[in-house]
Amino acid sequence: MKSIIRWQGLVAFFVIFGSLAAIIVLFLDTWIRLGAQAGLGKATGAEVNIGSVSHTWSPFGVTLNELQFTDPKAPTTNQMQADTVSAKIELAPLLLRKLIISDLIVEGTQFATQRDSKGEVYVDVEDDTTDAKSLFGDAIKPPSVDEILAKSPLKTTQAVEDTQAVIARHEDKLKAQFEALPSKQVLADYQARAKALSEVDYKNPAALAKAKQDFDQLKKDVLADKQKITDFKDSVQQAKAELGPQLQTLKNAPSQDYEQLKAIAAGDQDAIQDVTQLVFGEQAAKWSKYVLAAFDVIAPMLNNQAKQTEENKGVEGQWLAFDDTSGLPDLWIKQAKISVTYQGESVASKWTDITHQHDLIGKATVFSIDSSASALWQSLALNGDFWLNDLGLKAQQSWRLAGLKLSDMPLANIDKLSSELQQGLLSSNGGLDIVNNQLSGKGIVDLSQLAIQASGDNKLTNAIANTLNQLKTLQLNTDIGGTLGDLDLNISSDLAKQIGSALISSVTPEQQQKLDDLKAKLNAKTSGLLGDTDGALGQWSEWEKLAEGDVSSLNKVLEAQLNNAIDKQKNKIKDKLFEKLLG
Amino acid sequence: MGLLAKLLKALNSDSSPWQLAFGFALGMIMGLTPILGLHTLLVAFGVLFFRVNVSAFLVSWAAFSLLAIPLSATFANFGESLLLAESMQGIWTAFYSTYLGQLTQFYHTLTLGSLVVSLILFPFTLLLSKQLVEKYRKTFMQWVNQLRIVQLIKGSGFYHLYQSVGN
Repeated sequence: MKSIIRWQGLVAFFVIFGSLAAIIVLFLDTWIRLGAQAGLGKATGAEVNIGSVSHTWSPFGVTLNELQFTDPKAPTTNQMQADTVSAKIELAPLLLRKLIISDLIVEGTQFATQRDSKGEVYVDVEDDTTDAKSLFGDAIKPPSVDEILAKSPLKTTQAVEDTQAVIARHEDKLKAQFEALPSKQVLADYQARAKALSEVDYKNPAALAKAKQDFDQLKKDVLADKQKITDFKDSVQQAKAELGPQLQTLKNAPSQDYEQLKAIAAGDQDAIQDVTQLVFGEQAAKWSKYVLAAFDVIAPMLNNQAKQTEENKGVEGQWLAFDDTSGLPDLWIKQAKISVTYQGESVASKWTDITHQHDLIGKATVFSIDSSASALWQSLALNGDFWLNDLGLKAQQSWRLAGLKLSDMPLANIDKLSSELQQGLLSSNGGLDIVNNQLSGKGIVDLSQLAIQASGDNKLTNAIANTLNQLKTLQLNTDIGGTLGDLDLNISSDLAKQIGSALISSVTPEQQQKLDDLKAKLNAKTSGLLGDTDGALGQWSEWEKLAEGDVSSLNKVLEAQLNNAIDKQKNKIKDKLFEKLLG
Repeated sequence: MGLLAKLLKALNSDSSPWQLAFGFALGMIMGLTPILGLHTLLVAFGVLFFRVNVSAFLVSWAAFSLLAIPLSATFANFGESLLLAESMQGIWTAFYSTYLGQLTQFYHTLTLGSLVVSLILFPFTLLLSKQLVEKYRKTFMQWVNQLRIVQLIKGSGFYHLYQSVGN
């Protein structure tokens, strides 16, 4: 009977698994390269290329050279690329499938660079490229004046509504108050009663007491009516104080609307309203890649990592952790130094605690850049932190950049318009907050000492080019919105207004006719109400004047008669006293 | 094709039914569980070091690998329920802190679930396989060899291959 042991099998076992181990060790760099390309590609949603890989055993470390991350939204460009990425990796946690990197050094990082060939995209992304070609065409049909007036939120319409509301609010009240004022008859009656009291010769104290009582009643009636007049006057003052500025707004509104709408009426506004975005948008997007790299590249990558772990639970199983080691996240880069290269200048950023499981380590990822003057800029400071958990990303960042030198930078090169920024200085500051993956922030980009070379092909693009050529300074206001990984930059400036003014200065007779029509229709909206408002104001002023007369009349009568009566009594008492004293 | 020929040869030869049955049962473990893990090394060692029929092992591995695809989610859920069981936490925690525990990758839901299921099935598969091999040899081998289709196969290239392997 044969033995159940197969000694040749033991040799075969060692040969097979020894060979496997040898192949793994010999081609370790290749496995790491393939694994990293696949893993990072999954995390970013697009092709990742690694030129070469090397490793050291003690301490265990890996260096990746020439990394390129395809931008899923623009596969012909790299979202990010780096010359070298060196990581010191802790070996023991690898058994628990946890990648703990004690030190990470990334050098030569650049954003939005051109790829040699189009990268593969693994996820569905929206194409957000703007088709600018048709915007500057010759055959743009301008809207009619009525269409403009119907579609535009007019200041005139608003002013008319507000003015009508002010008049309606005060008119009835003032009318009621005016009608409740004492009539001429009542005033005359007061005068008669006062006169009668002052002319009576009081022979005895009882008569005097009766007169005193009548006086008090008269005074009470007069004061009550005087209060009505005072209240009325206050109401008139209040109404006039409200209607006065409103009237001014109403008078100014048509001309303000005209200024606003004349470019639309001339037929150019649709084309130039996005001119800032078209001319500076591409470069602004590139600058933002550098300033917002933490949230445009790194945080989305980490977030995708977290999502994939969740999605793969069912089919590929899940790795659970027990006891004291459960505090280790799946990925934790304790310290990192990332050097970013911009136009040949290098700027270092410091990072701590990079992970997608901040709840486990109880600390946020913190990053900062504090760069003093270089050949390209005067100062650059950037600070931020972020915290990823099941609810999403919570983060904040602020930046301040002064005096970044710009040169030979292509701006818009689209149909009928080409432009290049030959030189300029850029300063920027701003802040950004992220709550549950929703971004909100503002940034200001000040461009100064500008020299732009632009040329156009038709009337519209010529006006844009001329304005750009004369531009010395420009402030770009940037609204940052969108969601994590889908950053939305909205850039605005007064460039469209400047170009609009340039276009208005050379309108055709047909366009001028339309502008005149616009002006006339705007003025017509207010002319009727201006008359009514003037009428109301005049009426209120007239009432106020009448009431003023009544008050002074009341005051004069009341004070004069009362004083006379008292003086007479005083004199009588004095006479009697002298008579008694002198015998 | 060569592997199938070898298996047929083994079934028709005087190889012990136990050798074939262990091949099928160990192939089942290999097929149902993820390939990366300490258990793979142990199973491979068992197959090669002990006189287990390698052809039966390889055919079984391939067949059970196909079967494992639709069952993966179920295995993972079973593994998760075992790992999250309150009464087992002490054992898992102690095992997790050892290198041996970490090498077994028991804390992976799919690995643990599929390994436990295949270990439970192992004795049944072993005994069933042995009985089937014996039944085949007693009842079916003669009958199968007389089948018209088998006669046709015997005249084909496949049979010649089978013969050459046997030589």
